[in-house]
Amino acid sequence: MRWLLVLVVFCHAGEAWAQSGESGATATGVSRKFNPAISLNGLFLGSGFSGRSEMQGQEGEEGEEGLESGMRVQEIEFKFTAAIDPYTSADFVFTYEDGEFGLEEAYVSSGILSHGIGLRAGQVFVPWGHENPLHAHQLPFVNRSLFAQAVFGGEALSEFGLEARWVPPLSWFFELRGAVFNGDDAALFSGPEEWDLAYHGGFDALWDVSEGGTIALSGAYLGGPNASGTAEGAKWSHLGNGVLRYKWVSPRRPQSRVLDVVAEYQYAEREAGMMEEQGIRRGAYGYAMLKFARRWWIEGRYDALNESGASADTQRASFMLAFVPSEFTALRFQTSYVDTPEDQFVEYLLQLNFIIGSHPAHNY
Amino acid sequence: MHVEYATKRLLPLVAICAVVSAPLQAAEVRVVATTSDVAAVFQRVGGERVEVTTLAKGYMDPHYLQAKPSYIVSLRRADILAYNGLQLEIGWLPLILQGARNNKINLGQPGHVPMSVRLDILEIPIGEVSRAQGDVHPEGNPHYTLDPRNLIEMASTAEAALVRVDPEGGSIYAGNRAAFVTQLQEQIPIWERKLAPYRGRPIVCYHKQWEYLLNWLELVPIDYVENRPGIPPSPRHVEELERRMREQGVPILLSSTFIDSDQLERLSEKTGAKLLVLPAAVGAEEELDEPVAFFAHLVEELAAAFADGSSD
Repeated sequence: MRWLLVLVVFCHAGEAWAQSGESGATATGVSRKFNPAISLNGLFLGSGFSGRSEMQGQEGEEGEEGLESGMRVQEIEFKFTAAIDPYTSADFVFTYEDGEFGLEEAYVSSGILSHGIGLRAGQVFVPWGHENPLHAHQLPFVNRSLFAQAVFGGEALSEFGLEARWVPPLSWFFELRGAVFNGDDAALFSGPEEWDLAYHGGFDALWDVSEGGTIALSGAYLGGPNASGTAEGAKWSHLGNGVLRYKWVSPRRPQSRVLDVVAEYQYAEREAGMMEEQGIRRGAYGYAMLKFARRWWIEGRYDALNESGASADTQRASFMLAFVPSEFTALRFQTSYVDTPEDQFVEYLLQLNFIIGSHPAHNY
Repeated sequence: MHVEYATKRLLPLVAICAVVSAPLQAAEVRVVATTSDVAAVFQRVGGERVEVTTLAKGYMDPHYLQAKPSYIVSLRRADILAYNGLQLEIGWLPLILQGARNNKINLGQPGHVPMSVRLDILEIPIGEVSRAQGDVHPEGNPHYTLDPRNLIEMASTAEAALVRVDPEGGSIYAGNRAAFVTQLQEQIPIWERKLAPYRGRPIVCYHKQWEYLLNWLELVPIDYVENRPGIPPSPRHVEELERRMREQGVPILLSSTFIDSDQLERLSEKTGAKLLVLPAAVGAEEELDEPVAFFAHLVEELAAAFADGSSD
């Protein structure tokens, strides 16, 4: 509820400034020109299933988004962005989901460091892999990969920490980053020592292979002591991934001709204590998105998850058709065939994705 | 032994670094321009002292450029970022500017140059602005580079920016600007005379991007195929527009090279209006790589289209 209070205060402040007239100045001389850019993203979701066993149909595992049939608010996201001063800017992202308000991201970024170095401090989506840094409304499909559902609970992994990025002076894009996080995620980290942290390192490289085409390669590591360790002997969780991406945007028809092909391999290992089993999870997915008309695109994805101790792999094949009437609305229909060790079923998801407020810049 | 070993292995590495960083040692001032029109003005004023990189080439729609990380590489090295502004680049420029982490070109720095500052901006919305009106630009119509008179002011903005970051080149920039402005001032009356017979004639445009050109030439845009900016038109609107165009005998249906023309060809056939697809920026076609040639081409094409319409 405290996030609700924060939102109410923000909105009330904005309204008070807005009522101060066209000049934008209040009686105290405060200008609303300095208000943060505010946007709201809404995701409404309808879901249904066929071929699923009764038991599976009644209760989905935590984080398996869309396992309950029916219609609901999938997520409402509120974003506030502004420069704090000439040296720093701040971003806050709050969400309303499953009847609760929460903080997804709250960070301060440096803007003045030279030599291509940037710093970020606060609560952030860990920049691990292709999907994790994306908010729900930015995801290429309605739900995250099977690996993300199993390891991160279907949500992005969000941690508090300090991150540094460096773009060396090369003639192609290459970025190195490193970060130290608090390691609060109970399933992955939460080491026994007070100062047990999680450590992240990664890179992104991108080459222009034609005027409209790029190839991107990225990799990342995230690791830290987990709760299975003791003061005498730490046990670590290790996560690694590699992403290969080809994207082509027609230079003359960017609104109606886009091809995006992504493949990602994901790995997670949780070292275990004496009485526990070591857990290893491997995931891989590949998807292709084709925008073939100004308002339409189609997507296909194959997704697999291998878990130590499971009798068989979990696999999923998804198809999506999206109708995009404007830059600010998308209606997406996704159907998936899901094959788990326990069950096979078909999933139908219909999502309305919309934004109001400040015009956001679009990620590549 | 160790020195020799290290030298043998380090020399190729140093050579590779030298090759990949070679572009870093080129001109006195590195300018990154978001559009080809802005780039053309800086090229004319800066001459050989500047290296100008264009992000949205003339044949690309600057509304919808993708924020490619490779643009960050250009911005990372820039001394000046010159942009159109009025939210034309809002969908992509903030991300690459943030990613570049180059303080020389951040807001408030000498290298941060919005090119619209000295201009009279058309169609600044009055009263409430809502997305129900389409993808409106709340600061006004951003396509001001389609009036050649605005290039004169833009040249002054470019000169001031270049002098700020490279005072030693001041006299060169002043000379280049004066030559460019003189050339424009000589040509503008010629272009105006060429289209004077058609003043007041109605035109239908696809997108709200030709206002500055039409305002300069005193032509009258009576309606738009895309009646709400950025939103494809409804069949009902196109039907109504078709009726109006026939009734008013609209001679020209104007669009740009980065718009799909299938629907416009059908509208042209049904109404008898000539479909005129013009380049909307310098460099949209290979031979139109500088402003004077570009405007001469626009004027020639418009005059020919009106003449065609009159003879029909």
